[in-house]
Amino acid sequence: MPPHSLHAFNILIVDDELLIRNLVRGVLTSLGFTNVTEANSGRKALEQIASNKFDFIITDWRMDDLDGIDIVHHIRKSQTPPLCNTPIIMLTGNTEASYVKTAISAGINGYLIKPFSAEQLVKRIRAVIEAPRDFIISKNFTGPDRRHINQPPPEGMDRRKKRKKK
Amino acid sequence: MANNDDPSDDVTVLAADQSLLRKLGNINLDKVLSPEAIEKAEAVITDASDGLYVDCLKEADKLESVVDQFKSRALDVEHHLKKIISSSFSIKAKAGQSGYDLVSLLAKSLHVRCEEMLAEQVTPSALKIIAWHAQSIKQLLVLNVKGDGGKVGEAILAEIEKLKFAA
Repeated sequence: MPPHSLHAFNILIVDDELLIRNLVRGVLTSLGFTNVTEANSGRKALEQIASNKFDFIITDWRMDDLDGIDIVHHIRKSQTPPLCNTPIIMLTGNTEASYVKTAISAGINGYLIKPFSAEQLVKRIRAVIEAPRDFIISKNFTGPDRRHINQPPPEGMDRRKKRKKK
Repeated sequence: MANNDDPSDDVTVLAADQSLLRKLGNINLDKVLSPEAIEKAEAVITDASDGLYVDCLKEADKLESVVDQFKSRALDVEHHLKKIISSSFSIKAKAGQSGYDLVSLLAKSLHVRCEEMLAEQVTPSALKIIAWHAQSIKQLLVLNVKGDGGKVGEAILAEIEKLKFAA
């Protein structure tokens, strides 16, 4: 085991395919993230989430009972930290832009397309750990601030009003 | 996406949660998640490809079987289409992950078209196209055609472009 403390991070992997869970676990373990819990369905994931605090969750989208988006909704609608702002990375074969938009609107932190590389997974994990975003709770959206890219507004539009931070 | 500018929308902004950074402590992720460490992790993926390939073959058998049932008893269209979508979606991810890019592309073509067909009538020519996809996926896996399949791959991709489901 590598001589550092990444094992302190408590991670949940959710995927109904055993081979994919084994693959993600293998990659995480190789990197030093050895404290990994698995769930083979959306329902099992919610059971785990109800009784454990996870530092971040890597979830598949398409599953037979509750899917990945259901998991995201469940976590975000609790609207109470620390559960509601648990970082969630969607690992999925859904490649179309409409799916990405749906997932972002649901409140994910990162989106990773299968087939994935270790490098891409590391990038998403590092973003979650090293570059956490403000968290928005509102009637229409709960999730990490989607305006995390520091760019000026399009020409002709005003910048949005600032909100008070808690 | 939701418009946070609605003045009636009560918005709470929680400052970014730094707990994971604190958990990291003195660990330098540039050193720990170095290019060498990532390369080792990539090797885990490469090593898993045999298992994924075997799984893809089994899934391709299942897919063929579902398509055969669909052809002979096309009554429960939605049921069969959903099974085909599920199977091909699974093959797409696993084939792609294990280096069978052409197979992954075919599987994607199949599940995308079947998803469109959930809202349409399935014609005999559409059924032939589904069967063609399933057979091609199976053959490519059995023949162990990795990557883009070279000349065979070019011909198959050209065929996908030509295929149109009859209305």
